[in-house]
Amino acid sequence: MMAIYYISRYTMREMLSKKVILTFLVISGIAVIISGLIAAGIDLASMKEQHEAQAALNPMIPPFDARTLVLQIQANIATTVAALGVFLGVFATASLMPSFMEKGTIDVFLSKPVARYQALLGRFIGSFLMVAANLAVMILGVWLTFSAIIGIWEPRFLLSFLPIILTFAVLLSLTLLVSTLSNSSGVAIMISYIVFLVISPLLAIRAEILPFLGDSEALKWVMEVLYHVIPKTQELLNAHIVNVFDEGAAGNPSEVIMSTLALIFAYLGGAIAYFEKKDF
Amino acid sequence: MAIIEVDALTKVYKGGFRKPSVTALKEFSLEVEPGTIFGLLGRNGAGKTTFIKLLLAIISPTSGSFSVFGEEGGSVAYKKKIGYLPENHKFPGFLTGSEVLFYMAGLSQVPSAQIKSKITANLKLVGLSEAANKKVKTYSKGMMQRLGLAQALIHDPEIIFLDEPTDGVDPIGRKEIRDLLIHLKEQGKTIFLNSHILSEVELITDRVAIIEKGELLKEGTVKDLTTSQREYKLFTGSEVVQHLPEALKESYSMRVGKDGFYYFTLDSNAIANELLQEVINAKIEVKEFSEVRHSLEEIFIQVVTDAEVK
Repeated sequence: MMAIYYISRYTMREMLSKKVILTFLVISGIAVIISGLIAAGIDLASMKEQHEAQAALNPMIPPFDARTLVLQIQANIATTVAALGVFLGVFATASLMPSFMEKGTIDVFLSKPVARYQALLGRFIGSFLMVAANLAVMILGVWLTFSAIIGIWEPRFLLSFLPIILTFAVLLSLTLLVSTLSNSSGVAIMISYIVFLVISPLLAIRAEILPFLGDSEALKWVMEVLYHVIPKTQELLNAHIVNVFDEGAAGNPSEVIMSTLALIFAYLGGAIAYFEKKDF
Repeated sequence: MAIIEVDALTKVYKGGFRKPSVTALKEFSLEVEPGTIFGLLGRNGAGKTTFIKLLLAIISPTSGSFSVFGEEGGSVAYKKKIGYLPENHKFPGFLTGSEVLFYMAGLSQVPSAQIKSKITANLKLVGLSEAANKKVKTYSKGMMQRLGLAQALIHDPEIIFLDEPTDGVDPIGRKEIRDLLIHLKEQGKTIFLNSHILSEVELITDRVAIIEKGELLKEGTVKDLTTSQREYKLFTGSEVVQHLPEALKESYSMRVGKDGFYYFTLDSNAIANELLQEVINAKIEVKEFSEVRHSLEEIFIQVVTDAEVK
């Protein structure tokens, strides 16, 4: 296990030396500033006045609830932060396996008493921890700034970290698999972004789009298969970030979370199986 | 008992679309005794690096078997006792020399408490103490080579595999590396050396093997390989030919070299004594009489050229 520790540590050191992590931190800082500006632009007192004026005309409108309003705004901020964080996280980690597998580098590592699966897990854990730390800083920074300015402290916002980090973890394992197979960070970035930005959102609404595609059984079957082997990042981020802000829903493992965990293991297993047999 | 035993090892790199398969190693068998320096000689692409990579399980064999320390090839366990300096190694430029050794020591299972002292000792050993805290990206090629050597030795391995260890190193640095290898041998270490700088190999190796197109062409001690069979050279103070008996002349052929030596090729080594005795009996001053030795480079070129002709 010491081998995993040292390779994880080496990976984190490598990421720190790259400007991409510095860029990540700068963008996190910008996200914090923007959330502060949003909070500063919200005038709860005038919103309450407007709401009460409308409620006087329509008795069906529930009383003004500042906390619920803040939660809704935070949910939107969390979705944006998640997309940004995951996007940056994939970019920051895509080159880690190709650079590790370079001739002259991999030879040194594999000549040490290190099992290949340990080397790959070390790379995964190191890059995961580094991006997780950055995401945590970003989410905590956004929450602290927003809450301090608006004056309402809603800790459930912090729970959005879990679906975001799970989304990143599944994309990282996919990136690791693709970059190990292709030995190309470009291919890994491309596939991860296509999954994240195109395929996953489309598969999430497959029931709605199938009728427009002819509603054939074969296509339906293909889409079902893809749905189960491709990360459900869209559902994970949208549904669970929203769930975090719904009473009682936070922290309950759902089918999406379980299938995401299964996919992380499957992708890592695939990467390890290939890496174990690869000649360098 | 041999510390490395290799039996009919073959490696074929499979081809792909419009890319033929390449046999990098063919039925290669070898034994290396402990406490020796073994040199594997060959041209670029002859299969030297492939052979080391197979022993270190960086690539897997197509067929054949090998063992290191009696353990079957490919085991992670025996790597604890192995150090490796790859050819054209790359260490991350963002790390300092000390940091590179820190990670390599950790991965080589050096106990945490000893890592610091090992780093200091090994940097001193390879002459990099002053550059310990400089980023690797500022290192010259020679310094990188020394750092590579330091990481290979950081865990005090029993076998050290070195792939072109003096590549890019200046003449003084090469001498220092040679001295270090001899010092390691004196400590009982086994050193396996890949090189095409034959003059250096000749100076330090106990045994050498010549490899060409993945096949073992010749193997033996440096003395065995460089000493010509039944060839002797004689340097005397005066003319010698007329003093040699006619009967003996049927047992050798002779030529006079540009260096003034008489070169004899004998029918058998037993004739050497007889020949010398005749010269002494003729009261000719013998200034030198010895077996003819070729340089390792000459032998290498001859062996490889012969193989090409075949």
